[in-house]
Amino acid sequence: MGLELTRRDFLKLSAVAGAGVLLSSHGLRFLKPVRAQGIVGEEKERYVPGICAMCPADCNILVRVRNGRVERIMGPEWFPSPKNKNKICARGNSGIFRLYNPDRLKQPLIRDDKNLRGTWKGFRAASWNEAYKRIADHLKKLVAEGRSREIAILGGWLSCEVYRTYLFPFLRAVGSPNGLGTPTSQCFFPKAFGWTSVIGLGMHSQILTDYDNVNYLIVMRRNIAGSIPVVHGVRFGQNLGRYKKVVVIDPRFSETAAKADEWIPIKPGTDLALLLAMMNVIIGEKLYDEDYLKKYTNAPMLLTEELKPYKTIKGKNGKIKYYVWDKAGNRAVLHEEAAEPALEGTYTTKDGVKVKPVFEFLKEKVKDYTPEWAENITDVPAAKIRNLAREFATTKPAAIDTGWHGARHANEMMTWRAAGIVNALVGSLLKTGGIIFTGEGLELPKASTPPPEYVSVVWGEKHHIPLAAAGMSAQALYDAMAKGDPYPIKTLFVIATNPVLNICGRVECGEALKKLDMLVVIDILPIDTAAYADIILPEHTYLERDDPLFNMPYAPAVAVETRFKAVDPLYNTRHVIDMMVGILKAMGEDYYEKYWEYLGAEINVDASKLREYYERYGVRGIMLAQAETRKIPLDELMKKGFVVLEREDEVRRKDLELLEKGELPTPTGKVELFSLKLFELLEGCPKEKILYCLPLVEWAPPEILNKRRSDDEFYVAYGKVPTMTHTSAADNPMLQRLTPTQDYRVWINRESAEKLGIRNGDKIIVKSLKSGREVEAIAFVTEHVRPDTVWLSWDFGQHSEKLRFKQDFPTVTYSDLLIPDYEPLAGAAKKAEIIVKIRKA
Amino acid sequence: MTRYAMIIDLNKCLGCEACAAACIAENRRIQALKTIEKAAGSSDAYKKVRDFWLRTRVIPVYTGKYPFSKLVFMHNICLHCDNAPCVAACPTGATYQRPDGIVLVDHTKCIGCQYCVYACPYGARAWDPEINAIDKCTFCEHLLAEGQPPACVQTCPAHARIFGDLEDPESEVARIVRENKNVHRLGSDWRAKAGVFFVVNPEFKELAGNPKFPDKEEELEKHQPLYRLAGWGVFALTVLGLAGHIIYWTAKKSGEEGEA
Repeated sequence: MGLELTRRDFLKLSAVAGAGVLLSSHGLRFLKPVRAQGIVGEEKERYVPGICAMCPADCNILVRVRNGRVERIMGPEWFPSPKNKNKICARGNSGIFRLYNPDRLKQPLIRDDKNLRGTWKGFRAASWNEAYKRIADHLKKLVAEGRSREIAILGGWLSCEVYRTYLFPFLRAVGSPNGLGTPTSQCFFPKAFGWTSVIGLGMHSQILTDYDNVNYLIVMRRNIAGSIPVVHGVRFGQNLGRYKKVVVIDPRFSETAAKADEWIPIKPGTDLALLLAMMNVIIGEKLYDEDYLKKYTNAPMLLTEELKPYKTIKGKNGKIKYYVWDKAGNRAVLHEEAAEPALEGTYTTKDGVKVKPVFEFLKEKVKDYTPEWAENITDVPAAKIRNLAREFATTKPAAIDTGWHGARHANEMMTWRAAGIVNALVGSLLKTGGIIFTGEGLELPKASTPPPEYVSVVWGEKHHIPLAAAGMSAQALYDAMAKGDPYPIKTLFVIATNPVLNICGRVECGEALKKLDMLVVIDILPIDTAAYADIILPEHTYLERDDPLFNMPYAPAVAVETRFKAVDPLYNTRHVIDMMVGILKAMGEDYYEKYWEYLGAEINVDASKLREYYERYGVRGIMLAQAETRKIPLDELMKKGFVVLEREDEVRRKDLELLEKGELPTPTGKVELFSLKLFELLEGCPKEKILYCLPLVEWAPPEILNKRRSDDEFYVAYGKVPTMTHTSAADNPMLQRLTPTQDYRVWINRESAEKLGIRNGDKIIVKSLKSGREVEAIAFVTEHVRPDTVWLSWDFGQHSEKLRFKQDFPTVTYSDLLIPDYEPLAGAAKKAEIIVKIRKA
Repeated sequence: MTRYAMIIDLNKCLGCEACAAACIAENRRIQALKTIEKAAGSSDAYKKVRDFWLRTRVIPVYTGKYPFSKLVFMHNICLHCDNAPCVAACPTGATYQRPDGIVLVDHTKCIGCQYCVYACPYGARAWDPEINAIDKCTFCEHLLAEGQPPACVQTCPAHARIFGDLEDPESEVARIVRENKNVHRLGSDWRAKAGVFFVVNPEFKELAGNPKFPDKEEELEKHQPLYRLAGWGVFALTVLGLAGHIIYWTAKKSGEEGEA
């Protein structure tokens, strides 16, 4: 509606003016339904801008529509997005088959018999009003009984990334503090915090490897090509051939390794040892960037012998000022006053305190982490490590990639922190060709304090998990559901996530869900978790919905973006925001009004305007109110789906400015080789786990280190395949068609397989020594994985009988191999801390 | 003159299969939706969708020995050859090559004999019951006509598929063919000259062992008798089958005979 742009219109590059004619710049007129009257036969094709929702990378797309049907989804060909340029991947191209998937949930379903949970029996079709009323009555009862905190929302990446802002006001309205997301603790938090401890930001939407300018790139614990978030893939891929060297550190020969100059098959979980040895070489051979360290990092910061900051004061801009040793005046001075800050040496201050700069401590710390020491742990030859470190430090600009997922090992945070420090040593952070902040990174609002009753806060305090709240620990939710620890959660909304597959322990998670008073599952497909639901609410696909205005993540630009409905909903489905609002409306006017009040406060838009626009135009009204308030040009937004507010050069300039001015979002505003944030958290860290949260760096072994005892036992490296992302893809018929056979299988090294009599294509039994469970799988016997490690994809293993396009042979349900178990800093997952036993079936 | 050509840079291809997915959406969407609908009603839905034919595919080829492992993503697509065996094999002239090099099938003339399917060395054609004709890559000529690149080229994140006019010295394809030493034109020593070029490092020359990638003369020689045999077979089958087909064809498409 109002989006009748033809291909020809787009081809005209003067289309901005053209669009102005087509779409009134006055915000509301275009919303009037312009129903094409009397048109028989072929409708003209239209291009509707949107945002892909097949994976969390949020690519900007154009949807080609004719006669009310989606014909093709493509990248924004005529106005490249600062995120994915004009490209999309196989998943994005296959979005049509998510929309037209006959397995979709087509109407609300209610099940009255709780005993049938875990099966698909007993569901009946219901009206939206009945479903809303049932939920509303239940919630009102809880509120009346003062049991609001028993309510929680668990969101998937889509809800977490873009809809959380619209879900939290719902929770507030019903008095619950409990909004949690599976991506945070189950996917990336420990990695993100590792980066945050160095540069103040660390989510993959906030930081970006400068693929366009880096010359020497090290990629570890990730697979850019094989997971292909296009924002990274397009930059990494188009620069192939330009890099001086790409090194991939991975136990398995990934798609990214295929593009690399060197593959280092490291022992799983030991990347930290390799990074520490790199520090040893770079510092020992004085290959570090001394100027960078003095100017932009807290390497000169004086610490006492107990490894505590000597003296700090809080500056006017909220940043912490610290003391350094000024070699010019031979005394301790505030860092900004030093003419010649010392990086090395031991000094005694006027007040008689023995102090050393952070860098001196670091130097001493890594002295013993020699390449020979690391070879023993990592199984990477010392000469290779030495060479890697030398090349990395002398081929500038060089960077260790940001990573994406990071919840594999107990030492996840420390590993990424070390990666950050190695980058700092060669002067790469926030510099061209290194790691830069994205537009979202620059724009991020100040973190809010979680409500004191938030389940992760209470749980974290009880179990001494200092970052449980920041990491939205799903373990806290699991314990609350399963054991009432720290208090019971009895009513759960699961929105666009599949906890039985995503939270560690499929069986345990299912049992916990069975204990709930009410489980509402909001999804597009009948996923495994939906079988445990009392109420299933079907959602629009991303091609059938309008959306609010979002800040653009991932891109090196500041921009806003939104989705426009490409086609009318195929079935009796609704937008998740409509559902939340509908439930509150059924609870009563008070609740409904509160939603708009809280939402208005959250997004800085007048609450009455939000309500009015929503009532007139639905979810699109929310976008309009936001766009009007933020003065976003609507015609451009309508045409492109995004509006760039600050371009890449501006973002890069601001990145450098933050570095120059010492205003990074770290406590000191500097790149922190000694993390004051970690120092602060040290108290909350249990003694036996202190290795994993020290504020400098430290060798913290993975739990599985050297635990492989026999030829039939293996470490597990898992990863992604390019055609799949969680539930959005696993039942997509055409993505199933495109998935290469070996990607469904368990990769096992040829020699190791021969010892066990396993041949390619054999059925095997994978037994997890952690969960004790055995699962069937098919073996891919290959030269492309370490002999002591098996590799498999996390994306398969759905059990739901309603997903008809899932594969018809055994694949591993990864959560079957795990138990609810968490890393020490954030209560996040540590999914690769398992050993499996393999035998021929 | 225009000679449309595609370059597939295997050094850049990330193996993501965006090309194959874009091709389904652009060119075989209706067939895919029908396949899905039929599969959903069957007890072996997965098998049915796995059998869905693709105009272009990405084939990961794993070689090397640990830890010197190697992986390259081979592509399968119609090469739009000059002197194409499929054109030669077609008894009705349904398969033809346009002056700009694109090999197409005229659906109205196709009688479904599938000789071209057997004649094609690259497995790039298949009988499509939904359109009642042979289906194959068209270089998205319907998009070219509107000034858009083929769907696979448009979507490729790594810019590994490059499209343009070989006769235009300024074009990217002409420049790469001219300058890149690692460009291979399949069949260059044989009578069929391909319109699709591959950029591939010498280390992957061993791929020539794959019958879908015969880039060495010996390999082609090895395959050639097969084509000759196929050619004779085609001839014999044509003689035997033509009469029957013509009866079927005239009955079915009599209205279009003027065009034929």
